[in-house]
Amino acid sequence: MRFLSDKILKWIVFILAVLAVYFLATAFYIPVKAIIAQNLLHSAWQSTLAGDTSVKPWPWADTWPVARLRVPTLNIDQIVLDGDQGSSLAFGPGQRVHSVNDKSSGLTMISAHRDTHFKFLQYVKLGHRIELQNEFGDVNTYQIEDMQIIDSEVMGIRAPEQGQWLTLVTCYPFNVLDSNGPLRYVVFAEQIKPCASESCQS
Amino acid sequence: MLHQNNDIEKNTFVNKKENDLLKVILDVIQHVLILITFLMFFSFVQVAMAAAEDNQNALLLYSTGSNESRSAAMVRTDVDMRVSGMINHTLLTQVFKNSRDEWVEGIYQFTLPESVVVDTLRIQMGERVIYSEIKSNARALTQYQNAKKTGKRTALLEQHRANIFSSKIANIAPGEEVRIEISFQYLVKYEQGEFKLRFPMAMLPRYLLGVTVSEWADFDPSILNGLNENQLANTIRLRYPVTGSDKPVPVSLHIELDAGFPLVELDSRYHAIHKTNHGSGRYSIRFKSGIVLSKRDFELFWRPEPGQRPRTSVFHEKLGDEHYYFAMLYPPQPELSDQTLLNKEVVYVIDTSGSMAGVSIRQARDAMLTALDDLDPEDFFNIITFNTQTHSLFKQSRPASVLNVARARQFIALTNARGGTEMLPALKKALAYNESDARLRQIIYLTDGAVVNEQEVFELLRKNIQQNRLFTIGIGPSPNSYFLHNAARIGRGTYTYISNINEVSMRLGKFLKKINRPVLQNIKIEHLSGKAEVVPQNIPDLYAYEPVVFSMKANEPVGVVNIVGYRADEQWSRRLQLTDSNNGFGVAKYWARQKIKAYLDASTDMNKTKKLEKSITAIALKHKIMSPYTSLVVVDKSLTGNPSKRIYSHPIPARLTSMQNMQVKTGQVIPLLAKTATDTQLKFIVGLVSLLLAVLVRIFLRRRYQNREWL
Repeated sequence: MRFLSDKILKWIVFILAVLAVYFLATAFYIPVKAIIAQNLLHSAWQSTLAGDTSVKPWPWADTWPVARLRVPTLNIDQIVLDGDQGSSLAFGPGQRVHSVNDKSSGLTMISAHRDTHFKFLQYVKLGHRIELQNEFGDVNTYQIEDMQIIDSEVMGIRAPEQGQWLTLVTCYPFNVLDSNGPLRYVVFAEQIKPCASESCQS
Repeated sequence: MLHQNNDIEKNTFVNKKENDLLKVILDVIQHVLILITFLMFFSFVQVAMAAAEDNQNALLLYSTGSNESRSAAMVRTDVDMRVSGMINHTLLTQVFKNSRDEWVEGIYQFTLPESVVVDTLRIQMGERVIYSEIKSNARALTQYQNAKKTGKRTALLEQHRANIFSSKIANIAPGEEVRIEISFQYLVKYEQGEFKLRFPMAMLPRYLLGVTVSEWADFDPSILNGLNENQLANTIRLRYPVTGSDKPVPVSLHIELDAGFPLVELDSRYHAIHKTNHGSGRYSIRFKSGIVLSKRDFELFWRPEPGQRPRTSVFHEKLGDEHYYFAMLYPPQPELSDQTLLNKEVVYVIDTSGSMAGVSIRQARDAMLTALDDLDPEDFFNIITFNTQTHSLFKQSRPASVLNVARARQFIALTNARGGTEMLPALKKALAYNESDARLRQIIYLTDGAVVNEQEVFELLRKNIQQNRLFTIGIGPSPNSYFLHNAARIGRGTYTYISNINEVSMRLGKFLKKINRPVLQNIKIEHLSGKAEVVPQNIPDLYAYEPVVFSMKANEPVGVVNIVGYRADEQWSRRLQLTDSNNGFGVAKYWARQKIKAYLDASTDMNKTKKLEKSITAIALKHKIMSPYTSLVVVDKSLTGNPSKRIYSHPIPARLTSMQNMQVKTGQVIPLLAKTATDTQLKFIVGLVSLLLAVLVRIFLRRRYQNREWL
């Protein structure tokens, strides 16, 4: 490095320091955002339960809370957002609801990042209960029936023939650097008691 | 001038002050970084150490997507045996734990007792129990791979040799305990009036390559050649756990023994046992200490009461409309003992080519000398050696008189190994003459090398074997097992493989001693009433202290059979009553296994393989046992049990890459579109690396300043 003048070296130090600050800051920003957003979402959820619809948690938000997800055995309590596009997933798990054959059965699919909200999926076990509260305040309990690893480029989930199903989806494997892999970890849970509202009684 | 100097001094002072501040900050960062590096290194070492410890047992785990393997610790083994007569039905339970924080695939190889029939595999993972189904090899493999790819729990059990198995278990959850239950049956050994039940406690995985397994002689060798590149590669990987598997695993044992007759003695050779007598030959047996940590094979032995020594023992099992029998007849004393041996002629054909030089030929010589001492003076014998040329001791076989044996000893002592391998003339010579028709002619053929003109030799054997018995012995790392095995089949003898050339003298000596004592030949079962199918069709010659063992399938209950054989030139026969047989567990499976073996034995012709495969597959599938063409595959029952629950994963139809409509129909496939990972970790690491580099360059810069100050 003798050929590099002090000046150039000083610049290199400066650039590297800036890069370090940038990357570390953004690296911390994602989980911090995920945590803070959940806190804001909880208050938006309260007003949703009070009767408001599509309550935006902050003025410029392009999504709103639609459900509250709880896994009692793992102390998980999260507010689920509408839609599973990237802009929702930064703040919370995103939900898509499919009704099958005119609501005779249904599939609720909730996706979230493996390194923030759905990090806990790696610890769930068969038989664990998942509680999902909808916008009307009804709490539906689901029981985990299976866990599968699915290659999302070639495989999908078949619409169920019977029953109300909940799938929790996140990336797999859990602790790798590659964030674009095709594998998904899918938890399948079936509703174990009929919900109170008329809309889902069939 | 002075003023200017002052100014410069002031500037450097300011610079110095700035530098000090930066220095303090950098020092702090430096210490933090060192601490982080140290912690990372420490945790890495811990993980590596844990991995090294885990390698002790035989379940290899492959994490999805990587070839790196670590093993799950075997927690314990439970052995549950039910013995009826000579059939031992065993349920082996092994408990493993996946101690990694990843989902893994387990690949596990193990040894079972020889001539084992495996019929069930059951795997319990977490709270789920899955059972095996018997499928043809290809189907089982496809099913396993499909299930594995879609993340379903699945397991596959394959048979590589008569007693070597491998099982694969896909998608084991982190921290999950896996119970592997394998049920199988095998025959208890009978030697010198004593029954012996052996069980490999260490379950040491044995290698597939190099064929170190000796007693697979009763199995089709074509599966040996059938290994494809993948299987071979797997095999090499399977060798890996052997190095670490020297830690004994806790084993619990429970045996329900129904000997079929009262016993005078029942004990374990190497382990202390506790036994409960239930009367008339029925016992319960456990380890005295409950659980045993042992690397030594378990060996249980029992003896029938000598006074009322039962001559026969018959077991019966009804399967649908079919009746299966398993029968054994002990050599009646003194009618068929080693006092009344058949007259025989033994021709030893020994390979003395260059490859036998050294230990091999020395060991072969030792074994031959022992065998010669053991010959009856009335027996005839001859020795033929071959390399590039063929030499024989006598022109014609001669009696084993003191003089002739002495000449033989001299001949053996002068035998040296050199030159090529020309086996055909030697075999021709051994088969050529037939002067002593009343004698049982045994040809013992020992080699360590390759055989070039296989088909020619088979042809020669088929034409000239007649009543000769050919016993082949392959030694060392590379005998042509395929040839030797089939040659022995045609010659109605056996093939013995001895991999370790240091064991040649001991094992060959033992073998030669055994075949020196034939008591009965050309044994047949004549069934007087009803139609029945007996296996094996050609019952092997009987040697002293061996029982006649056969099994039979019939469409209606069989009353009585006649066992007929020849001693010297006189006929010998015995009636066997089947009506008062005991109920035997696994009798039908034993019959199926023997039937499969009979099919394999009957086919030296390679063209028939398709038909052969079909016949064997049909029997194996019917009786739900493993064979060269069938594997056990475990499928997740909960998926097939209730069709309403089938919402699981499914291939996406072509071009379905977006999902607009939230109203779907049953069976429609919903793709997983959400991107569910962030690059947090990547950014964090890039950030840390940049920081580290910045600090390093900064330190370098400071060093440079310091050096200049010194100058």
